[in-house]
Amino acid sequence: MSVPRILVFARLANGNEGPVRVIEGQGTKLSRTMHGIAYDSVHDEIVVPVHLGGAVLVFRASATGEEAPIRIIQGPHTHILRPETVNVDVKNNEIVVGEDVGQDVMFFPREANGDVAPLRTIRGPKTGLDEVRGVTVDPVRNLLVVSSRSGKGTTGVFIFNRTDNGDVAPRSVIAGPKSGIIRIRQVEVEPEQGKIFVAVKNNVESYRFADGSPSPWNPDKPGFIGVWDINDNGDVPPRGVIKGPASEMVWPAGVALNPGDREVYTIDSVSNGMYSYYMPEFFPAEKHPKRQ
Amino acid sequence: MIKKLAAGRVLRVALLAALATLGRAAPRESKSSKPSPEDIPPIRMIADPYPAFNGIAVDAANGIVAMSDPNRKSVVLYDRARAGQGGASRGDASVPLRQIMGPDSFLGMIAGIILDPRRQEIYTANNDIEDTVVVMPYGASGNVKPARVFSVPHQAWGLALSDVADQIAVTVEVQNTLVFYRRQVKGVEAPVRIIRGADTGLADPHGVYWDEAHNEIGVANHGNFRGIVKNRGGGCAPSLVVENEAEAGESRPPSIRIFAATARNNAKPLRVIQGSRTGLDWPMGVAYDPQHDAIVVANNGDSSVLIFGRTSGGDVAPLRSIRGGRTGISRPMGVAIDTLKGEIWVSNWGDHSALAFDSGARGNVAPKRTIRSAPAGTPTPGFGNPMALAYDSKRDELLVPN
Repeated sequence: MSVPRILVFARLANGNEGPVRVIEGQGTKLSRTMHGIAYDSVHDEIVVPVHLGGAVLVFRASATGEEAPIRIIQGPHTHILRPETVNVDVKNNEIVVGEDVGQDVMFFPREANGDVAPLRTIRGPKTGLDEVRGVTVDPVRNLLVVSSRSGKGTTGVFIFNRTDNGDVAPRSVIAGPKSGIIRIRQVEVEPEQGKIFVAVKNNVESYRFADGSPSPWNPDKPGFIGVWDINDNGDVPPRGVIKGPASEMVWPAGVALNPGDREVYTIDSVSNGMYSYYMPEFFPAEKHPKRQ
Repeated sequence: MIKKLAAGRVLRVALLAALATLGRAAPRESKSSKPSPEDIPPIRMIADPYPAFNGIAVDAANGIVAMSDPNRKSVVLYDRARAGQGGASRGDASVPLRQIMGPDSFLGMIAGIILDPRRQEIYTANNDIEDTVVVMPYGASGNVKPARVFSVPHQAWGLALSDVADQIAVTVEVQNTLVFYRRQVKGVEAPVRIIRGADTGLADPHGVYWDEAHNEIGVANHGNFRGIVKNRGGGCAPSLVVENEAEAGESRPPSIRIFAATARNNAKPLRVIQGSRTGLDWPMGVAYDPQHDAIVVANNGDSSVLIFGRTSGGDVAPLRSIRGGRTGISRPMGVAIDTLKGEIWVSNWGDHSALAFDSGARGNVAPKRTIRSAPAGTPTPGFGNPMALAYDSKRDELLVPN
């Protein structure tokens, strides 16, 4: 929120430990409200959205301190309004951008730099998208997975064909009371199995004083990390869940995967904490050889 | 080896409440045992059990200095003169006078903080989630209800108070706006005026000061700009009308913009401090120092404090700066001026501390006193309402943007 920066921690850090490096300062062009981040393992780059500057920034993955981005997607031709989240599709060499205010998903060439028009945009009433909170691509099945929150429509996981463009209906939507999704944030796909991992935050964000305080001290319904099959559709309960008092989660907002170590990570916006879970059942050995 | 969160080792009673949510040992680095199929404990966690300082305010007449703590969601008050002495001077955590925190307090992701010495009230802005300003009496402690709470737009950051105008000014990051309310505001009230528009040059505003002697208001800007946000009900009442979006996002240079204190709407600033010579780098808190007729800036990006002449304008170098290894300044978020004692107070985001300097200090000088919310050298994770993360498989690292 009010403290913009990218913090980098050793995976095995545990307890009250500081970051091994921080990307920060005016030269980085970062702003608050970076509600997404992606690591491109092929090109060794980091991609982040800059909500207040209407930009998508690409850094060297080893960036530190006040290091400038190596590429910036920003300008009138980008049609970027307020980028909320990002991901990288390394197979198809594209950056995927999701917007909350813009209610859309845009695709840019991965190497785009400057005032570049998007290759495709999914936007419009048929899409069902409202405030887009997370985006990811299943390169095996050629699908786009989007998490979208709506006050008047559907809050859930929307699945499109990756090459969809314009005002198109999703192939499927995972939403409803059985899904447990009330509020939703970051999504990731494990393409080997076709599993969708979702940070189901489930916070109450009324932002209206008369409705009472949506205080972090009074979480209405605690969130969870939910796992769905990419072929699920409708009001489907998750096939796997991480939640509960022992999990330490209150409002998990982010999710990241490390199949090689059988680990799932989340970040919690209430406790200002990052949590690591060992989940071998989510990453079977025949699909994921252990990381050397 | 089990790594402890250091709970109970040095923290005093007043801080134990902060540890209630995190007062356990960090988990063992071992594979999980599951108490139930879904209730799964983490194998590792990173969290900071100590208050992390954002804003800072000082009231010398009543002998207190107060900090906002968005990490543990509290306001911490210290004795202005004594908190940095004794064990604190040797690196121990300082003993606060009081800590206000808990579900009844309405304190959450707080940023700016100011004190009203005349009425002995504390104001602090919930920058995210709650979108309110919480007003507490000086004597508040623990899990207490505020004296007043009032609604402000989403992303309220800086606060300034004027007895002369009997108004409070609030900066709003995403709306590139300065909003003014009557001082006694409570609940949901329309602002009495706003400063907003293309001519203002406001862009991602943060700290604000109100110089009553010269009838001016100064605002620190980070420079991120994407037009005037469309309000679709996401920014709490009072709602602001829909404005045209700018044609494109911009990353403008940082600036300090000084307005007439009576300015409203699309007013042009009287002066603008902006440009490469200024050294501005993520300017956060700002304050006016009447003794030196100077503007004091918490320059977060390069861990310094910059001091400009009040009448400075354009691409000017600061008159002086406080920076360097001896200063202890680490990612400063707030500055406050003690006009009675002639001190500049600085709140550090980087290392659980607040520092008092002589208000005429310059260069690489040690602070006169240091207040610590944790023992010296305690690591600072630095999370601030994080919403996403990624795994870097090459470096075996986790990336977290705030």
